Amino acid sequence: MAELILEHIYKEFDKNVTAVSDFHLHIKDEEFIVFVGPSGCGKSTTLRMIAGLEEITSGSIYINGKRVNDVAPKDRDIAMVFQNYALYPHMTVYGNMAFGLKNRKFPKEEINRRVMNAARILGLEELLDRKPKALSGGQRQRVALGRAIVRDAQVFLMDEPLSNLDAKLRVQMRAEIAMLHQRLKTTTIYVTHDQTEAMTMATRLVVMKDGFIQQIGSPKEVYEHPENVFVGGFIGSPAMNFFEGIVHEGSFRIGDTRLSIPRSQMELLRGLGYIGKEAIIGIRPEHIEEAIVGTAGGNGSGTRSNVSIQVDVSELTGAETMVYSSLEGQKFVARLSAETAIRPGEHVNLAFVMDKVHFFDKETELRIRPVQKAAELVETS
Amino acid sequence: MSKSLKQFIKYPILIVFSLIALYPIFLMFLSSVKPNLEILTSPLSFPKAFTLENYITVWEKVNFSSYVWNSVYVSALSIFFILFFSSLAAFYLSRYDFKWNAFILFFFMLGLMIPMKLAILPLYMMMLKLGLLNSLNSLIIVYIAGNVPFAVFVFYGFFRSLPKDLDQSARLDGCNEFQIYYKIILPLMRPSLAIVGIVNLIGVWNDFFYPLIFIHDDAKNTIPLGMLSLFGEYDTQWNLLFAGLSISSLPMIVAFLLASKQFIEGLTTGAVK
Repeated sequence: MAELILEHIYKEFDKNVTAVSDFHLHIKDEEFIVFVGPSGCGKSTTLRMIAGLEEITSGSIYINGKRVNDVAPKDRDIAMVFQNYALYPHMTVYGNMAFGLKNRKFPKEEINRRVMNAARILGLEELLDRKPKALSGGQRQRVALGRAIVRDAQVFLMDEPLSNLDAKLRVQMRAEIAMLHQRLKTTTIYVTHDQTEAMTMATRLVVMKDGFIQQIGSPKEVYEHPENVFVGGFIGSPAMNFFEGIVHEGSFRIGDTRLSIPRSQMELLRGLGYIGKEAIIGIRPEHIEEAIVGTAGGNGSGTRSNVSIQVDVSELTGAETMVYSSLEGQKFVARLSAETAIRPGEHVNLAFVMDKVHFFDKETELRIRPVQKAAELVETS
Repeated sequence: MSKSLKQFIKYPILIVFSLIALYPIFLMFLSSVKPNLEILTSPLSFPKAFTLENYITVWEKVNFSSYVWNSVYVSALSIFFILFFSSLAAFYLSRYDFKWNAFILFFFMLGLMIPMKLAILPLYMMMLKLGLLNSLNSLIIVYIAGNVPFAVFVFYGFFRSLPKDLDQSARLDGCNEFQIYYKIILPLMRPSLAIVGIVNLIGVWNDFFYPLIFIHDDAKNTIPLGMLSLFGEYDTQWNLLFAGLSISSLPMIVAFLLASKQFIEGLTTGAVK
């Protein structure tokens, strides 16, 4: 099908506003790539540049080895699903799906065959004669997908296609799009600001912020090894907790609280000269547990460090309880089991699973990693 | 209780205003089927005998058929070109980046503010030089120039409200720029085309001023100007005048009835959420 290479893409609006900087990515055939990031991070702009709806300021885009910078959108063999569906209101569902094929002068039987096939896949057979205004949100979304499917294009681009749907329908359509991708195996680029969508659908994630790629990797990689504070905080719900403190030999001190640092991490920090310096640690809510009564606090048992805190709020979400609190004035949330008896206002001991803690540089906010690996990273980028 | 009371009050008010608006039109039709003498003696009464003679007379005697043809010719061409030029201009202004766009739009808006009639003298000179005096085409040119600003203003507002994703989607679907306009935009802008069309049609169809200045030949008169010949210095043939006015207002009424559906219909519903 299709392989895409985005080579050091830049997009500048006017003269001073840079929407996308040095976007470099190699998308393999059949991949489901998700661009994720907060609004204004340049993900939609990048998608539009791939579609040819925005001009590229500098850099090159290759589809199957062919440079397409100056190829018109209609000749790029790309189908796109828009956030607001962009269905043609004066055409029926059938007309909407057939429009692209008619413009490309496909024979009538072929158009009919393809539209019927797409309608069957998406369950739209009954609705072919309706106009978009007579459809529900989910149905409109399906028509928009159908319009992409009939084209049998090399690449599907989807620009926040689910953001206009209600929560339940969104989950359902998410699964349908994932199934569709498994069935059609078309290279897909999907833009979203919803990290849950990104995590569940992607074969690879591209996390973006302020026009820069923050990290590229499988959802698991990105979740377990965030490259910087932003990625750690953006991916995962509730977000990762961050604490600022000072690295000491064997412990990380947040005010008067000491958290023990596992040996391997300690070696790394010592080697890089972080002792006595400020750093940021990140810990996911699920890596904060209720301390088991009888274990030592403070300097910890193995890789767990107990802290004593007062609970601000506890929310039962059904399967689990979110406990909100603060440690030395820095807020955090812990994800505990639903059975916990912790109540708001109580003083309790929580255990930080220190093996799972991520260390970030205070100034660069980058993950603290072995030097040679960092050097490799510089080379490859 | 309050809701039914509101309804109860609403209808009498609406009926009163409808009567005020419709009565002159009714009177016009009424007078058009009366003899002249009866109009003068009992202007508000119902006709004693219903007659279509006035219509026949006005059609045959006063060269009325050529007035109608002239009016149709001028109106049709003017409206067509106003809609065509303005919609394309507004489409460009709202959709494409060009650094002088704001200036061009301002220029159009300026046209809304300047009364065209102030320019009548230069216009007359210009038509004289162009050899277009006493030609229906001079009227068409003036009407197009005079009405394009308003049309651009309306269409520009409409295009701004039309999501750009629609044309981008069409672009990906293989349309070139003109096909986007022709296949996607044009069908969607029917309501605003109807509004601009009808407003301009009324103005152009009923215009008396420009034909009076530019047209000298009776055979080239439009209906409003042609009606002037029924006003004599000592005697006015009211019956023929009303018959002529009735004929000339008929196309307007029909056009309005046809286009009013487009006024109300919200065609873009369902395009985007």
